[in-house]
Amino acid sequence: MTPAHPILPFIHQARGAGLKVTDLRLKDRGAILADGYSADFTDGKIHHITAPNGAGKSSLLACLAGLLKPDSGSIAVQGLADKKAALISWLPPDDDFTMPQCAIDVVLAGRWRFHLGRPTLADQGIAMQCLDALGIGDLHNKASTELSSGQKRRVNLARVIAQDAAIILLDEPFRGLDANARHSCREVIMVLADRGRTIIVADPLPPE
Amino acid sequence: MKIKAEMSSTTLLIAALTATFTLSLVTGVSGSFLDSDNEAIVQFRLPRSTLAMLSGGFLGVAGALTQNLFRNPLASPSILGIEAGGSLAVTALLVAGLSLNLAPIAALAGCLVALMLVLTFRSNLILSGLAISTAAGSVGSLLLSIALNDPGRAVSVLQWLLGSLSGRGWSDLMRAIPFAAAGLFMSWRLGPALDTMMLGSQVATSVGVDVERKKLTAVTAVALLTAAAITGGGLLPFVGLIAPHLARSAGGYRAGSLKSNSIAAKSFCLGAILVMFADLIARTAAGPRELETGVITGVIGGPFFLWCLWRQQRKEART
Repeated sequence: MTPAHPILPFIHQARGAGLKVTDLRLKDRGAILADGYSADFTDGKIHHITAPNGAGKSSLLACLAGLLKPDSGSIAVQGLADKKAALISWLPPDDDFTMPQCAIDVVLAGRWRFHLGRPTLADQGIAMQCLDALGIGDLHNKASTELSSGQKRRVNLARVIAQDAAIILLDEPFRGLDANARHSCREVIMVLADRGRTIIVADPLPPE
Repeated sequence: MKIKAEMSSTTLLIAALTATFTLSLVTGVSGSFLDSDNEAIVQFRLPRSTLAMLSGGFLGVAGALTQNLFRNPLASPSILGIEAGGSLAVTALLVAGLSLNLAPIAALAGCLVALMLVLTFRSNLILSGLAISTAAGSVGSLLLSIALNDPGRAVSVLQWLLGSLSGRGWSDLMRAIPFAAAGLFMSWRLGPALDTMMLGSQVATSVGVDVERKKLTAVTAVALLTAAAITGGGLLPFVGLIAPHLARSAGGYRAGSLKSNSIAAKSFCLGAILVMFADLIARTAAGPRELETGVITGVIGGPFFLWCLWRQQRKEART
């Protein structure tokens, strides 16, 4: 047993779940993004997918999240959960906040599988923990549309962490972040991996 | 503290709503204030003011729901052609000489068809709304010109189309209430899911919301509320656009203040206040002749829409 890290105490040590991709074929507007792609994402590790812009990282991640159907091939989730949201959480490549919402309400959306629309005080506390861990606790009452791009990115990432899923898919999590924010994000990702979560990070740059 | 502040902005709106309602009751024809003619109040002004209040409220909630569902602050039942679809169906009903009792069902069917069309062409939301309302308006004019053979019927259709609240009463309200009650209940239950869906369908799906089912509920609720408003108060353009806009700026940004249900409640109050004021103007401005309430909301709403566009443009230019 590793001692509990002081941040994000609600994320308990657990044996995560893995993803096994076999012979995946993925097309987008005629262009073949992936053909015969196979990979094994095991638990408790940080997996990096590094490829240039437009290579199909986002499509692949959406596919792994079950939001996009591959043209052929299979994606098998190894892990037990009653709901899909308990297995996989997903950070989209863009922070599409078109309607104003309070930052904390955005994070609470990630807790949907626990509160089903009625967040408790405990859910609110957890949402605050996530914002604090990323250094944006003071923004909890700000409208999502009025945040800077780096702040939006972190609010969205806080939502993904709040979901407490076994597999965490992060599509360019560091985009628009300054050095400090990058550091705290990386630290949080390491903590999640430490506690047995499987993390897949797609980024155009190789990990530092 | 925060909850208190949030409560106070809603309480303030309810107080303003009550004040407007009272003002509407005691204002007589040609603007004679404090006209406490009991008979006139009970017989004419009470049903009319109630109708104005509720139709405006329903449209306010329908507008809030539409904007959140389509994730577009410029959407509203009138801009997306949903009101036009419903009103075309009612026009057809009136021209065919069928009973007004069927109006809510016809309006609901019209609104649903318009919504389905908007959903099909949602990649260009405002343009498809424009196409639907123009087409529905033209077909309505065609029907109206057919109805001209019977001038009495044509006048009643025209009066209905212009959103006149004169001559409407409890029976119009009673026809609309069941539809509105169902719509309000659905919208209230839907609120939390809609908050999540505001982050986009894919994100909502990934956190575990059954997006397709919730969308269907939202569409039905919008259609029910718009149909209720149309059968109650006729066409009242732009109310569904203005009310949620004002609701979002009322009370500032606090935890919970931007949630769907909070915006919907405030939109109800603001829509109601707006239509009651429009009706007051319609009743008194050109006295003793009455103007149509829908014309007044249209005159107020047109510039408001342009102002929203201008604000959005400025915001886009800044970022």
